[in-house]
Amino acid sequence: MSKGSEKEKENLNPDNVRQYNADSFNRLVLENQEKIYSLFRRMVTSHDEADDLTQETFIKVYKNLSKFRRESAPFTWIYRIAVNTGINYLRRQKARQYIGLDSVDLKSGDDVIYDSELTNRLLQKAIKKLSSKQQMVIILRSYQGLPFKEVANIMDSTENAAKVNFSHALKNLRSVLENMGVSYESM
Amino acid sequence: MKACKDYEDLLPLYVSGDLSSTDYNKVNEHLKECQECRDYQLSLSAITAIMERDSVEMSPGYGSELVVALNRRLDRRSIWQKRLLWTIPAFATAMAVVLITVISLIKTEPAGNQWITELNLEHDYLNFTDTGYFGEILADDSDISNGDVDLFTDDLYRDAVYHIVENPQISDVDSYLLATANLDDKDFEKVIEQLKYEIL
Repeated sequence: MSKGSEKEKENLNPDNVRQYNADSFNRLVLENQEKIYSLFRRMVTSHDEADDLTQETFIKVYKNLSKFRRESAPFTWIYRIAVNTGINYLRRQKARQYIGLDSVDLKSGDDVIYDSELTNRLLQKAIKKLSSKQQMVIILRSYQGLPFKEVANIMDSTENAAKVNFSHALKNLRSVLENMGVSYESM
Repeated sequence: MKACKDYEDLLPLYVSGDLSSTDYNKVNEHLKECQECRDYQLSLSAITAIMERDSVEMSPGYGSELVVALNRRLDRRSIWQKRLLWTIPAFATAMAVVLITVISLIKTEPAGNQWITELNLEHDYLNFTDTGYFGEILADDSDISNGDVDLFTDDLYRDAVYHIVENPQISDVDSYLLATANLDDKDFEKVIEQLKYEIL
C-alpha cells in the first residue's frame, strides 16, 4: 500500500472524523472524481445525470465518513457507495420507464458501417437492457478496467460470483446486440 | 451463432483474460477445432474492445467545479442544521410558555368556581332541578342570604331536594347556578349531598 493511501485511510479513521476538515474531504473528491464520474457517464446518457449522481455519491461519502472502516481502501469504499447509488438509480429509471431499443434497432443483414459514435450509442442502449448489477459489473470490469478482486470488493460479493456475473452479463449483452441486428464484423 | 455449452460461460472470461491457466489452455485447444466457438469468441472480443478503448470526455475543470458545488451543498445543509438547532430550543420554549400559561389559568380559576366545577360533574342531578322553585325558596327566605342559617335547616334542604327530584322540569346549569348564587359553598354542598342521597 502506498504512503498516500495510508495517509488517506488515517484521515478517514472514525477516531479522527471530528477533525476531518473540508480540505481533506475536498482532496478525497479531487482524487476520486474522475473514476466516479466515468462510472456514471457510462451508465447514463447525459453529463447532467452523471454529474448529479457523482454529487449524490460524494454527499453520501461525507455523511457516512464516520461509518468508514479500515477494512477496505477509501477508493473501494467510495466506489461501493457509487455503485449502490448507480444501481438504485437504474432501478428507479427502469421502474419509471422502459427504455425501448426500437429507435436504434437495425435489421439483420443491413450493410451498415458503424462509426464509433453509433457503435457506442448502440452499445449503451444494449447495456441498459441488462439488469442493474450486470450493468455495473460490465462497466467496472470492461470500461473501468478494474480487476475482479476489486470488482468483488466494490459489489460486496466473492471474486467467483463477480466473474459469473460478468460472464452472464457479457453473454446477455452479445444477445441483445444480436437482436438489434448488429454485425460484429463491422464494429 | 451459439457456442458449445461447455464453453459458453468460459468464453467471456477468456476474452477478458480472467481464466486460470488450466481453463485458458482448455479453451484455447477447443477454439482450434470449433468454428462456432471461434465466431462467438470474436463477437465477444469485438464488444469488449469497444468498451476498453472507450474513454469518457471530461472538462479539465470538472474536479474543481465539483468541489465547489459539493461545498455549496454542504454549506446549505450546515445552515439548515444550524437553523434547526436554533429552532428546536425556540419551539421547546414556546411550548413551555404555553403549558405554563394553561396550567396557571387552570390554577388561578376563582375559588368560588370550585363548586361550579363540582356542579358540572353533578350534571345528571342538576337535570332534575327546578330552578324556579329553588329561586323562590331563596327569595322567600331572603334572610338566609343574610347569614341566618338557622332557618335553613336540614328539613328545608330535604324539602328542596325532594321538590327538585320530583319535579320533571329540567333546567340548565347556568340558571341553576343563578338560583343558588346566594348560597355559600358550605350550604351549597349540603344541597348537592342531599341531592345525591335522594337520587341514589
